[in-house]
Amino acid sequence: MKISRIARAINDIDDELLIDAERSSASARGARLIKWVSVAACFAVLLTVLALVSPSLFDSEEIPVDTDIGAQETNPAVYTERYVYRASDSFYSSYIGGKVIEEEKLGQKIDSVTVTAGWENGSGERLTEERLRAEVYAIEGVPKETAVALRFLDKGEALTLTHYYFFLNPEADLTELQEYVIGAITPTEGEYGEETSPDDVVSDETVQYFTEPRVE
Amino acid sequence: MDDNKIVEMYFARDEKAISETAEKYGKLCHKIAYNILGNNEDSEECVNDAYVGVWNSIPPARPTRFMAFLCKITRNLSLGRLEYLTREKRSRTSVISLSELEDILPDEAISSGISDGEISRAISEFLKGENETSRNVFIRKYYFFDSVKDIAGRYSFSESKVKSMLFHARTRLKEHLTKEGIKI
Repeated sequence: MKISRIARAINDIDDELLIDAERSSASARGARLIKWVSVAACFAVLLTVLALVSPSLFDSEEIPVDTDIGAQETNPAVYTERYVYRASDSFYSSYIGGKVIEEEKLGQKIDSVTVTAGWENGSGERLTEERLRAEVYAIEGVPKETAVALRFLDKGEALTLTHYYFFLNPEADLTELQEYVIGAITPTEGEYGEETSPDDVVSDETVQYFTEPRVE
Repeated sequence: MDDNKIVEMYFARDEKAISETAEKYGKLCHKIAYNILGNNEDSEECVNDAYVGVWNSIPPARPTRFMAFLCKITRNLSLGRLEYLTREKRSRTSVISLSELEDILPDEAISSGISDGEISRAISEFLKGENETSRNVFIRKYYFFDSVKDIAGRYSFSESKVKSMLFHARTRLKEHLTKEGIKI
């Protein structure tokens, strides 16, 4: 294979840049250790304070389990990238992804689909792309025209192979399925008291999978 | 041993200079070569060739930054070896990185009369204008040919964050090279 000129030209960048990059790696490892020790210490202090101030927090019988694997809701004003997937050229082409759904709520496998997944920036520009196969499952008591569940056969960057993901039609009535939706999708009063329709409320925020802040 | 002392040993034609070099920088050189070539046999050969290259260069060269000098020789030799490796033997990581670099500036898109030195200077200028983290991630990927996973682990980033940083850096570099008249 031929090595391009730019690849060779990078060989002669300023020495200081090289040295800094090599050194920064070593110091980053030390900084990481200090960071985790500090985080552990802060967490220990926080737990102690909480135990003293709010003892009832530790009396609850049930600890809520976050079933939202790989899809964490965070402040959309801070994070500008999201992981999305679409099943174009199929019955589900308008569907969008939601939260993880429990396996016991599922019915039979009804279909197979291939989705195009990847990271998008705040302008909707696709940053990465991968094609993933998935099995489509019915959800008990929910018509497939409203929502189905996906189990992926290929590992996606922000998806697992062992969970079932809610896959919803944003144009359907999702009132009964709110717990699986990311963001609000119900008719609601607008800021000035006017009623809005599901179409108005379904926004890009419903499919945001934010994991880490973007570094500016 | 201090780098200046090692360089003086080369000037004195003291063969212990090579063993001192290997002891201090052997692991780094091997990593660069292995990241590019993907196998130990070719990597070891390239690193040994690099030591010979340094022995033959010093004197008359008196590098002020010995580590960088050695890295450049190693990288250059490894890229040269890569050109002759069969597809099965090549490191996938380096092939991907080289492909991404070529997308920034394909050879046929370089303005006529532009030397490799001018391209290097433009890239250095661009990197100096980047923030420190973005710069170091770029250099780790496209100079040292670290994998995205390694870079993510090194800086405690997610792999998606590293990929995003690299994507944006490549976009900015492309714009810079066009603005500097290097890219047609």
